[in-house]
Amino acid sequence: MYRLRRMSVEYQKSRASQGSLLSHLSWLRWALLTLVLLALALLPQVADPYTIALVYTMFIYVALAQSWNLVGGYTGLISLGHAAFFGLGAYTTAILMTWANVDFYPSILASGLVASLFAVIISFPIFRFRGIYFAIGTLVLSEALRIWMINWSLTGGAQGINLPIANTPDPISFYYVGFALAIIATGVLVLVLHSKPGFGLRAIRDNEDAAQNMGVNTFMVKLTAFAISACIAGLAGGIYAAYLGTIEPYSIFSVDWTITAINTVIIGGMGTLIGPIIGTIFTTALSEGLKNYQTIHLIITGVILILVIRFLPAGIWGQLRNWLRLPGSTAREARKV
Amino acid sequence: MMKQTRLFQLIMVGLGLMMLTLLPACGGGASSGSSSNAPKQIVIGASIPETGALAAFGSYAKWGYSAAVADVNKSGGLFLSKYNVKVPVKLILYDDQSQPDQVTANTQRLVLSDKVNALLGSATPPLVIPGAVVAERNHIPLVAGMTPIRAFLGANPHWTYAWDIFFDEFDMTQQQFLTMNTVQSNHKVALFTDNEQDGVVMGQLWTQNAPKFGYQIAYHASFPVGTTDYGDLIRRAQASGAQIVIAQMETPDAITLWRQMQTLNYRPAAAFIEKGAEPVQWWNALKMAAQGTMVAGYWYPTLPYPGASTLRQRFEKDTGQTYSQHIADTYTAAQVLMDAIVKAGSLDAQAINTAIGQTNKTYVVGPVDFAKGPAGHTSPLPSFMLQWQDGQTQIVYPQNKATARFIYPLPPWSAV
Amino acid sequence: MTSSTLLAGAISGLLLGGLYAVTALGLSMVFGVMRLVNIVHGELLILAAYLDFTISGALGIDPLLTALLLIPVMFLIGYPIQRWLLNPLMHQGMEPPLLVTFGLSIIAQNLMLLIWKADSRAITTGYSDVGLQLFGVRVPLLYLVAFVLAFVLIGGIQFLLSHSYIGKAIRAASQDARTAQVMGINPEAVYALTYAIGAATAALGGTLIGMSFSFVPTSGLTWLLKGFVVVVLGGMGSIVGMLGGGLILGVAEGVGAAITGTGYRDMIGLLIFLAVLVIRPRGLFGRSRE
Repeated sequence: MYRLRRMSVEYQKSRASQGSLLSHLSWLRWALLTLVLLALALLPQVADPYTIALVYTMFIYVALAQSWNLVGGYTGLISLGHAAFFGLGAYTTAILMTWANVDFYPSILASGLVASLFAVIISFPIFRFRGIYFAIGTLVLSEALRIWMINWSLTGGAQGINLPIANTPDPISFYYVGFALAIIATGVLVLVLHSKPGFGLRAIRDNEDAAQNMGVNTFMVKLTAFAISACIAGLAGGIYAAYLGTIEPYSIFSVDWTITAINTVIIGGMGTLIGPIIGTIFTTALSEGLKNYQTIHLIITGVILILVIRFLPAGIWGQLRNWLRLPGSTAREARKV
Repeated sequence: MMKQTRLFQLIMVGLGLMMLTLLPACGGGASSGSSSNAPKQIVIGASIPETGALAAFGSYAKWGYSAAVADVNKSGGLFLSKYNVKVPVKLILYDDQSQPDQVTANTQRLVLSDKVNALLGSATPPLVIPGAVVAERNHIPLVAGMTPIRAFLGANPHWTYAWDIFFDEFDMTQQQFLTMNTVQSNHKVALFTDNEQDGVVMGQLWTQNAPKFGYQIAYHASFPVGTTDYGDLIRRAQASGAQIVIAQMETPDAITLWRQMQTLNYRPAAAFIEKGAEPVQWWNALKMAAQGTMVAGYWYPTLPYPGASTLRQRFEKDTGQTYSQHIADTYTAAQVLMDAIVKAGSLDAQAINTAIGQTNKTYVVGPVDFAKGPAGHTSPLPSFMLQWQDGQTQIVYPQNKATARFIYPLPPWSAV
Repeated sequence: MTSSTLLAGAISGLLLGGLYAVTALGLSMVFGVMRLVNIVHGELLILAAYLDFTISGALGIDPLLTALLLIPVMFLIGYPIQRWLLNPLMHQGMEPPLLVTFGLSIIAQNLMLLIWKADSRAITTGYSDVGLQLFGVRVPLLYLVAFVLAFVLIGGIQFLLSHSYIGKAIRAASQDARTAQVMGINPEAVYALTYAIGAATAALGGTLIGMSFSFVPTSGLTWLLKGFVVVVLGGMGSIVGMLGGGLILGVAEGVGAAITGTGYRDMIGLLIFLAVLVIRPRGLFGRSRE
């Protein structure tokens, strides 16, 4: 992952030419993808409510993970404050549905917008912080927002907001909404990465100054990525708030959401499309297996995170990809491994 | 290149097939169709704060719920008329660590995975409400015993599946002034309320009630739960000259506030520490520094309700701890729920829910009748005033119920 | 809100600033020498508080004395973290070590949760509730103790850095690791030592936190963020500047909380942090090191 930073720009360019959408996916991969999607679409017809709720939660986590992946994995901006976008999305939906009687779907769209707007506004000061200061800055900002929301009586303060049951979809509809979000999140990533700003993203990740010298408008590219990432996180937060039925600032703005996003992306494989999905499956399986031992589950996740960073920096999927010399992996890195 | 693609294809196929086979296997846990045979057990679940800031209340809930279920199981369980047989009750308790989002997760698990037939509530509005929300959405009846009524209704004025047995804040927020009216003071009050439901609701009510009883709110401090530094607030209360302190906060926060008041030498003549001073942990942490502090009460072992004094003895024998009034409302909540199941005669959620609404009986905590309370889903308990004296709570108001002399005023800190 | 409440806030805050400086010391050292943001620093403080709580409670010793006992304990906890876990990642840039400390933070929080549960704790002694009059304002004795300790400790560390061989080795390695290596200094050992010293100072910082406030396993984040503010106000890497940073934060919080209300107290520092970084990314007192 960090060895990638040393890749030369020419190598990036040559890989980029392979990167057109269709050549990435052979007909078999398309077929398999369709099969998996079909299975997931039909799941609610055969599974029990608990499994449906579980897979729905995984969709939300995948969306959150892909959102972090976009800035952290592909642009090199380590955000420790993603909980802010998630929480803002949650509150937007809660406020609109409870006080303005807005329907569910417009509310969550507004959630995505509000989160993006926040991202755009804070970009101006926060992009001045480079490298590590950016990470700390996002953490500080997220916590400051959390404290603000705990105290702001206008939005309910510590009591939070209770959403009306009336306008809320049923659990199966939530499943499909979450499903759609997870697909959109991954799809958006695919689209962005194959677009012109997408190459700029990776150039920035590898060496921001060099990218700037080459004519990449680093500020706009970072802003776009940040805004899109925030939008997805906001959508996830909005949907989640409606699903929970009641939110309060201590937990919905908690750094735990950022931790979940980072864990799933890094363990699964930063800077890959499938990595966050694999990471989510992995951490959810672990969580379910240890559901009577939540604390131990988190300790183990932390240990695995450290082991991955130390010994398997490409993550599960990234490493798998390298070993199998799959397209998208970096042959140089594969040889080094 | 060819070998790579082949290997890749094999793996993808394998993964895809695996996922396909796993999914129905997950779904295979679907409940087997309802049988005409009697259920093997009745499952009642609750998320309670066994750890965290509200752990004291969780311990009372654990005991109250478990004791009620144990009593029922002693005679073989609950009689379900639909099957003409007694079915034992299984109680599942999960720790929510005093975190609202954990309550939601636990309650979801109870409903979806453990498939409970009915639920019991957690403790205090921030924890009870999320559980009630899940119950409401899944149409599972929930009886709560530890959340003030107005805060409960504030979250949803029209609960259909959630029920509450506790005091009404309208009544409870008068007790402090009524108690003070029996003695002399400068009638100036300093309010310390946290920004959770109870703090907000009671803060508003105290502000409204004070002038009606001839008191003045000289200072009102509002702060988030978990505040560790009350210095600034205490100084301002001191500056306002208030001789009476009324607080609504969680126990750890209340202990911190009280200690810092000692450090800054602010000693009111009377102190009502609502919620915070309820459990024995308050006394254990402060010892004689807590002597004379007051807290509103709604149950006492000498009250003329069935099994009141034996309940206290049983708790103290079981746990070796000083009792709390919460053992009565949690025990009662569980009993009310189980009585409703018997009345319904089956495990149909709707029937149980309707039966709960028809409750009209005197339990160990007092008379329970949901028709009497606001919104038809609450059953108010009467309020009176307790005072900590030598490690025990005594009734000090109203005087005709008093079990000890009212200590007033509090001696200066130097005398503690 | 009167001028006397503002004054009280300022004085109480000034003393509290000493405590803030002590708790941020480890963070500052590690950042100054290795440019490492030690996310688990907050948890090290809270761990020390828990250890002090348990040990002084079990043995009946004064908590401050127990803190002295904990100094080598925390040193031994910190040393392997840097030596074996973080050192191998130091050349990979700033993110990998940050993320590893992030992972350590998750592990530490949950370990403490497992061992000590989620209940709120506080270290109490005969003198923890004592207050005294200072310039017409009543302040907790503990704040004064922490204030004095801050000067002693920071003065001590500064002396160590400027006058001892170890100190010089540390400064050399932090300024230019390559050259230091050529001169016979092992940067990796220096890093491990620095981290361990940072963890050792957490013994004292954590104990002071535990005695002045209550804490739970998740309290670490708040103290980490306060540490950030202190470090950035004092200039990244300047130990003495950090003392100034702590005092400024304390006063700002004290006065700010008197104006806006106690709920926003923690936010004041965070906003100051952001403002300072936007205006002067080097911090207020610091030397240009980037």
